Amino acid sequence: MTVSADEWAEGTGWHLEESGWCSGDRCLPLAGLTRDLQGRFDTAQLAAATNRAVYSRSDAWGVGVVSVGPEHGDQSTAMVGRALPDLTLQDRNGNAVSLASLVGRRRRMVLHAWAPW
Amino acid sequence: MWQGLHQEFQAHDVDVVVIGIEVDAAVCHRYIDKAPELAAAGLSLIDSAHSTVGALNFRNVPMALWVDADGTIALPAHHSPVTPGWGDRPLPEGLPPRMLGRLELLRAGSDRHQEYLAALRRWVQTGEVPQTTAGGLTEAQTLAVAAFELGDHFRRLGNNDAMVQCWRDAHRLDPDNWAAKRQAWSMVTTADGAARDLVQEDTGPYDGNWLDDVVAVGGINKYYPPAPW
Repeated sequence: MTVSADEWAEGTGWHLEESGWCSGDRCLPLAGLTRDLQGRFDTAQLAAATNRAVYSRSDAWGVGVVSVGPEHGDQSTAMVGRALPDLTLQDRNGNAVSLASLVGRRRRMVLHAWAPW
Repeated sequence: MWQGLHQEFQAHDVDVVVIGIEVDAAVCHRYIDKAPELAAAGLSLIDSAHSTVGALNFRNVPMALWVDADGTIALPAHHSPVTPGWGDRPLPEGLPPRMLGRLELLRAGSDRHQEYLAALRRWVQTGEVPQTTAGGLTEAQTLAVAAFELGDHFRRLGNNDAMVQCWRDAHRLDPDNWAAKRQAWSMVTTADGAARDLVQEDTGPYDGNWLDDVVAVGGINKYYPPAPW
């Protein structure tokens, strides 16, 4: 299964630039990543290069569907000091709210997760 | 409780953002309508894609994460008990055995809400943050997140068989992703669509259930791992 650079950027935040795949201030070289004639990347190969797991299943018509997981990290690397990932959630009126848009509104911020289950 | 903390923390220029994790946003809305303190506890958001589970490691609830003004993580995801535990409160009589077992398990947990509130208030007031070495998710944990996400994709398409296969895989890949487990268990219904009696822990096509799984991981203090202070 293949993925275009735009599709990968939309799903993961990693953009294709001259220096390679970049996210924030990190860049990974393109070396070793193959592209097909349409310029699309192999999903599994690209996922492995960006520390992501790929899970796939066939849908009701036998077509393969792929889900790419979040970036997995070095367990010895502390999360403290890392940038808050930018996620888009919804407010009570269904409006999209980016976590990044909340940063800096106040001196500090507490995110608290609950669930009805 | 978060409503009170929101009001208290405003004086220190600290935001409280509460995030409801639930694939069906309408379920969250109904819950908030019955619990207005959630709506009043700062900005209230809904995560219907479980994206905070993978990105922020909110693999159970209640959990919290502290963020500094520049957007960096001051304290990664951790259990956030802001209300008292069961302590020595007497258990109601006449409960079904499994419900009783559940409450006894909860009561056996360490009640660390006072310690937690003290640490939270220290950070809010002075910026002092507990030391932690919490790392990111493992590859198996992120694969479980991907499996859950694909299962939810199939659920939205009405392909429940594929959803169950994916979610069973998610549970197997990361047994400590209680968000994935409890979400799936909560949606099990009878043949005519009625909610299952979850007190008796009938989880339908899924393996495991809350009581047996919590016992299997070593009890409530493993289910809610204590924060590092």
